[in-house]
Amino acid sequence: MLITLPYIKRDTPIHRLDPRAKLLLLLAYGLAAAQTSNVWLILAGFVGAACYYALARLKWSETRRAWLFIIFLNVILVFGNYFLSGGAIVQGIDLSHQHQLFSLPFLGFLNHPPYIGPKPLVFSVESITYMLTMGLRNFSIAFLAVAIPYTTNPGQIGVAFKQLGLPDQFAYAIDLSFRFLPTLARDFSVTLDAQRARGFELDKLRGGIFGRIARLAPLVVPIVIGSVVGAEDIVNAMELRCFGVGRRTWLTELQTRPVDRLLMALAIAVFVLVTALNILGNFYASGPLHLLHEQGLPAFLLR
Amino acid sequence: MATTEKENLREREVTSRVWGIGVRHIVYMALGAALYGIFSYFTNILQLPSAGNVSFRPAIVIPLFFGAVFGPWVGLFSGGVGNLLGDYISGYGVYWNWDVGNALIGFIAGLVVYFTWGVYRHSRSIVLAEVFAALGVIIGIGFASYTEIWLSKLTFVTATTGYLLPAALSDLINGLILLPILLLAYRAAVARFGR
Amino acid sequence: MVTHPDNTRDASQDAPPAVAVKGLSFRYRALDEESPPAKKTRRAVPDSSAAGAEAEPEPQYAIRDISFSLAHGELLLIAGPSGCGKSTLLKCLNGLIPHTFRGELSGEILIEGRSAAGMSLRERARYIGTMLQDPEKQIVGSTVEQEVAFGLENLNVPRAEIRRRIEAVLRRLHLEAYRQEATFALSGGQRQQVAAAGVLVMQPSIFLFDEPFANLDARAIDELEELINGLRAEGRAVIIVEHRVEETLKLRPDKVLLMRDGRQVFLGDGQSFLEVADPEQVKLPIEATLRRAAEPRQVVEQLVRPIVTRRAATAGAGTDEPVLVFQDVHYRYEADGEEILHGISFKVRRGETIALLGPNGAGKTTLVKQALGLLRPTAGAVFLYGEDTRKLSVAQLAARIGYVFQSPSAMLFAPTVQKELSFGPENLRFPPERLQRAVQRAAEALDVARFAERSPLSLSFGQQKRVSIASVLAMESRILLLDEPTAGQDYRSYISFMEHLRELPELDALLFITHDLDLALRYTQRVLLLKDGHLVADGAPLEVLADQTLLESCNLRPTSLLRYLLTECSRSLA
Repeated sequence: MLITLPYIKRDTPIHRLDPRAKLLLLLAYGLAAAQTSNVWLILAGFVGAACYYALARLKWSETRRAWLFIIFLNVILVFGNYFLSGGAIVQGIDLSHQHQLFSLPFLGFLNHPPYIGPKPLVFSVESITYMLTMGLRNFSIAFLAVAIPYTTNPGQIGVAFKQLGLPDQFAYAIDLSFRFLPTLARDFSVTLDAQRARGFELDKLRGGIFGRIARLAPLVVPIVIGSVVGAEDIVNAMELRCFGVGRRTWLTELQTRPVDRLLMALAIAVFVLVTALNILGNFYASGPLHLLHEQGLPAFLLR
Repeated sequence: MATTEKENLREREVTSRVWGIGVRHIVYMALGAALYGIFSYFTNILQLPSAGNVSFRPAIVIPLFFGAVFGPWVGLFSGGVGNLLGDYISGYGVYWNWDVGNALIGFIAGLVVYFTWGVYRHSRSIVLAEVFAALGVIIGIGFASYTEIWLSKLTFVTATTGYLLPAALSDLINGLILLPILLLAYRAAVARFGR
Repeated sequence: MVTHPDNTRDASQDAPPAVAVKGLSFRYRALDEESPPAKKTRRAVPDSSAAGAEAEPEPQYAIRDISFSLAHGELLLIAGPSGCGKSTLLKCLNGLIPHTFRGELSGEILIEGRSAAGMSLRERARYIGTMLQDPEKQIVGSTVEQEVAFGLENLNVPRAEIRRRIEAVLRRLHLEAYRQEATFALSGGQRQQVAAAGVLVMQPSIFLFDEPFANLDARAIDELEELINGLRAEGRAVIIVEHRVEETLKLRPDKVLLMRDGRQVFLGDGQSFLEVADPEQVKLPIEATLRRAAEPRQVVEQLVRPIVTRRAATAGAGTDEPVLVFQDVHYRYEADGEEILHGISFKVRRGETIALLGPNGAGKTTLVKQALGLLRPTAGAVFLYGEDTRKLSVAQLAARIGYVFQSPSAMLFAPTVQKELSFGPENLRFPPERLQRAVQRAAEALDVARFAERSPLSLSFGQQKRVSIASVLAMESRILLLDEPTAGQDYRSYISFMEHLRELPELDALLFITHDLDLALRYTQRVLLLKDGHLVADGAPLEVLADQTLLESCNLRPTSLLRYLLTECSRSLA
């Protein structure tokens, strides 16, 4: 069993971006998006993230497995969240009165201690919109997140963290763990084959939960212990070539281009702006400064 | 006077034994992260059958084991970077709160080195490792799950029943069963090199 | 010290020797406090009251009173069986002792005339470069370029200078084309060259090689020899630690140091070494072995004795139906992928011992995996005792044919040897009495019964190897496949191990997957020669291996034993 890293070598604007810019954008956007549930702002973020993702020119066939997982997880969580809270999912925005559309008896679930059990599931304009906003937010983050492994050369991750200020040795450990991946993947398949040749069947483990997990030992123990023992030689090899004695040079050096710096500045600006607005919004009950605390539904929906 | 000096020295030695980082630790960090990544990746693609509600996630034992044997920093790195790597090679992306949560798991599991110095010859030390591992899983998964309340606006109930309970439960069962098995195997392997 | 000049010098007369060792002794610290492998897990530890209370045994000297000197451009071979202290000596030279491994060190090491005592690893690295036994462990970079850069990066050499030196070294070793290649995808020989580049780029004047010839095919050995001769020609001193004396002697070492039990039993030139060395301890060229024997013919008869499996010996010649049949087996990993096996057919009969020979990457392992169902033929079929293997699961096939993987650490996991041996039979749902009997017999056959209650992980490599075979044998399969059975063992344990296999009970057939010609010559009745997924020869060992051009095209290098046997053959024919 060989491991193929998701990185696909291509020449697109996203591939050319500095990995630090991509990581910073993801983090800043995630932290900004968490501060509002204004449907228009999140929609704008979603469109922006989708454009960013489109620029990476990733094909569905290349990313299918990741997306299927993300879609599955989000459907479960977003709908599950709705049912588990009986439709009362809205939080963090002004809501004096919900415009109820309809309700389904016994489908909701309430667990506020005196009463635990089924209750009607209420659907309102606000709650449905809020649910949609949640989905949009999650997928906009996923667009930024999924793009990273497919467009970033793994050889640049270690040095990216180094230039973000992580000490030499830790940053090098990231590089080293990428180096170990294919070797360990091979060890994994060799051990799996060796145990299968002894009649071990992964899909037919016997016993209850506990027994079955314990029966994974023939797979886990040789791989882990074998590699830990073998690591002694690697330690020696690295010491003999002077690793860890002082400052080190990194042969690869990431250099930001204007577009990288622009993107990073933009990401930070959006985060700072949103955070400031969020704080200011607490002092104003309405108006543009209160924007983040409103759902922003158009009036015709609320009649 | 002399005793206090000696005690100070011993104190310092313990501290460096728990917190010190040498070339060996760097290599184990990288190895732990790579192992955690690989195991997560293979459970993702092999679709190991689940036993009832508990999914097979043998990977979780990696940060627990590396923490318990090599200390909190190695545990932290194995958990955090390992989770990052697992998501990365599966193509899922980067989700920082889960990376931090997994780093916490390894870090807390690694604090047991204060009591065991990474040596597991008696059941007492193994039980201690299990206790710290359990604490680590609960706190780490708890952190990651409850940050989702803020990050993706789940309700507390959903974060608990949708993330915390299933993830922590299967991590606890998988981790606590496999950790002693690995600790015993490691003890035997070390004995071989005891020359 | 940003850059340092190449430390090689002209071997002018007044220059000090590259290395001089005087009266060197070392012993590791007692078990509890010694450093390898995990510093932290040793020493007096709070919950190890038992270990602390025991009287500490006086540790043995790992090496005792070693002295030699080596000039620039010279080659020293350090030979001896495993455990003789040669790797400890290597660690003393490269500085891992005392830097990483602690203990009592006495005597003197002079490197380029300077005392090594008190030299840091960083300083030593300017003079001494070490090639570890397994290049896979030595290579820490994901790409060739990263790997070669590693040492210089650690020395904080400026980027431009690193690039310049990488360039030069890659050109010197003809590796320019591989600069951006992933190190993982390299072949064994290329990996060694890349590892050498990573050391050479630091421009050491002394090169240490730890068992460099393990697991290399002929072409890789040629390249390695070229590299070593090149290093000598440049005036670097080379030290090789190896028990495969035969290969190293071809390099014409200036000096040979023979060690036994930590002591130096011989130091002199290659010729006089052959006169004193014990052919039971280290593998010598056949001529040297014969020269020292009273009756050469007897020696050859002693050496060349194919294994005949027991069952065949007792069953008689009546039952001659094949036990394993490969019928036009084709295989490719993916439907649109490249074909790995191109129509392989052969039959294995009862009582046969077969060597499946071929260079690395010829498809040997892929081939035998078809017999176990670990891989399934894309076309053609494999029959086991007349049954089509396509109808059987891997577990069902495992009950009929046993496959022992090369590295025992890939499969050993159980808390005790007893449980390890029971694992296979339990998976096959043996009833309790049969299980117990099978385990006991397997344990006795491989002489592992005496550590039944110990953890297999705590045993030595040779013992682990035997446990791994016993745990496959316990499944009572009648055909046994052994992948590189002798890899990782020194000559003495290799021989005793192979002699052990001779005694295995109740086997129908025994197959070795190997690239060791001597193993095929000495222990098997038949050779299957595989090349690029084709079966290019099938016959008696001496017959198949007589074809020089075939051997060359298969990247196999004739050994002195083969050459001797062939000349003997033609002589007796004439």
